[in-house]
Amino acid sequence: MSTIKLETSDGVKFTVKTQVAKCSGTIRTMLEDIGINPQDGEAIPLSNVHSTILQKILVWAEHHVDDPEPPREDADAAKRTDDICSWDEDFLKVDQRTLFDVMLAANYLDMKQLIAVCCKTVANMIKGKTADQIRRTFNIENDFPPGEEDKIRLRNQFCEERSR
Amino acid sequence: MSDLRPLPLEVWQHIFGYLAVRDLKSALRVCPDWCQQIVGTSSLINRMQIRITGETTLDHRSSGIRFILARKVCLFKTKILSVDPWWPALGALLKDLDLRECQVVVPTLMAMLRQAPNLVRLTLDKVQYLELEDAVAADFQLNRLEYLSLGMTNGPRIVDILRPACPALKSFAFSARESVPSEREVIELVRGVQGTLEELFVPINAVGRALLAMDRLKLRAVNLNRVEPEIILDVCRMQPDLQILDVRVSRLDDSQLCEIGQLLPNLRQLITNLDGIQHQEPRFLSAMPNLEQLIVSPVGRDFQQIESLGDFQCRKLKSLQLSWVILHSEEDAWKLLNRSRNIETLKLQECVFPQWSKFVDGLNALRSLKRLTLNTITVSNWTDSARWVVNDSTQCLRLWNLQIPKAQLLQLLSAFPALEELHLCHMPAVDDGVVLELPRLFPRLSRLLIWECSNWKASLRHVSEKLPALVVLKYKFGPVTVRGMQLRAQRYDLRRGKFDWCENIMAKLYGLFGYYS
Repeated sequence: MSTIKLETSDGVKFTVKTQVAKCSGTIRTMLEDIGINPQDGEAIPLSNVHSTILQKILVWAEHHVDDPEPPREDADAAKRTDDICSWDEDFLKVDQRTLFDVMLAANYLDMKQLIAVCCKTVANMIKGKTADQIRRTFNIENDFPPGEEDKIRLRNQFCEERSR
Repeated sequence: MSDLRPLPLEVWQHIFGYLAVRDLKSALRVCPDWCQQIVGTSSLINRMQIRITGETTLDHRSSGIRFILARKVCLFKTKILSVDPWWPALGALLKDLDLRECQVVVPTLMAMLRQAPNLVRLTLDKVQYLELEDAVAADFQLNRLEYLSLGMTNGPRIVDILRPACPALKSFAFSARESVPSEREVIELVRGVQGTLEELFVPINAVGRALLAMDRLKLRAVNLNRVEPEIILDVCRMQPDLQILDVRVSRLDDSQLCEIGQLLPNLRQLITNLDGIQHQEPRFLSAMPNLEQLIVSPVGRDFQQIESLGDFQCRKLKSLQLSWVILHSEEDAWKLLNRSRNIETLKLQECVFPQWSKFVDGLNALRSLKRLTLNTITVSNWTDSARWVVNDSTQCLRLWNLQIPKAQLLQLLSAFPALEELHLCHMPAVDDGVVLELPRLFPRLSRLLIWECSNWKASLRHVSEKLPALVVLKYKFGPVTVRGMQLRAQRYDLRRGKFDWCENIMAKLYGLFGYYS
């Protein structure tokens, strides 16, 4: 079975099955389009990913390597967040820092399925919360000018999900 | 951006796509970055609508909806007196305006439309127009308006007023009480937009007749209810590209429907009744090889009696809905299902057939079945031995008002282990024992509705804790045995052929229960 080497931002080298590495759109492009030859034994540098995070992502990719393409979802409706499989749910039971690092790395590596499942997890953290609770959950500063937030609330009080 | 907020906005935007509008409204107020990101994403904004319902009166004091993100406004049963000064900012970007059952002052409506030049859809069903004076005229153009629906209007003049303002309609719907003299106005409007019109839902005989003289018309969908059969056939002759045809209250016989099938090779959706085919086997399905959706509903409240649905192969049929149909044939009633195996939606309402087991055989053939609804089905024999084949693709099962015995019900439920949505309404066989089985039968169930069955609250509470994926649980307790239902169950006997007598009973029952419709 063919393998390739990946090198993380902190200089750690991983030997990975090519098929698993190809879960990443970024790596797939490097191998197929740009024509980087992994047989040379040279590691592909992943300058934005730390080894602890890559380790975790490879566990996910190994588990999902044979997944079929997901069906396309309707862009005009809120997408589902209640369909995270239990393996992924356990996988993402991590602190927020790690979750966000995984997301950033997944974004950099262009792993759509992993991004989707992370986004669902974060969306579930937002659901049902007030603006203030959301800010506290994600440590976001309220940098609205005074009165502005209230204005937005008033303006949108009649807004709701569009019926179709 | 502080280091405590490490996700780039493009990733947040991805996350926002998973939020419902009620959560997006909170997200808007989190910080200016989020607000801008959400406002700038059209797929999010297009999902928002303003909906004001009930006895609200809108006038110049209603400043609460001054600046709004929504592209759709829905004001249901609202009295609209004045929309100054808050309308212009809202109207300028508006795409969809729905004023169903509102009372609206006509000069105000004109001002609203004048200031909504980007409107694509306009719905004015059952609007009551106030101050509709002779001098009112539309001094604006809705060049982007594609969809216009006017129903039950109290002023046919409104059609004349709007006609010059809507030059490029693609879809026009008009329903009127028969007494309203609006034919001339409607025909004028249709004639004016015949170059762009694709969908016409105007069930008026004179309009159907007038279509025959419009040679630039190229329709994709048409409602020809209340139009004479000969005119329907002539319209079909002129419009060979029709894909959707609604003739549910026209009395067409089987050979006329066959002819329609030959005239319309692209017909995808047909809504009809079987009143002209009583006591036979319809053949028209053999003439409609591209049909994807068939809806059979009666003209009045009378049963449509046929032998069977026929023995045809409708390879493309995806959705089949039958209401008020009696199938007489014991052996062949469901042969169509056996040969048309791509059906995804099957809905039977107020249907009568002899053998439950034959129906089950037909269902077993539908491996692609996703949604099954059985509402008030009468069979003379529930207990003949039905052989179920488990179907993993069915996601939604709705059972209403079935006198099915408990053992047969459990067999039915066990055949659909992948259900995500289950409705059990007015089902005497659904007791605590059945309810307690649900978690074992349906591990993926996310929506459960139990309405006036024989179970008690405790079993429901137990079940709601045991179903991990449950998102929606709706329930209502109440008396199960309504006198009329028992009567029907006991006295309805297919083999004795007592249909006429029972029809009357059923018709009375229909008036008793509003929930059938």
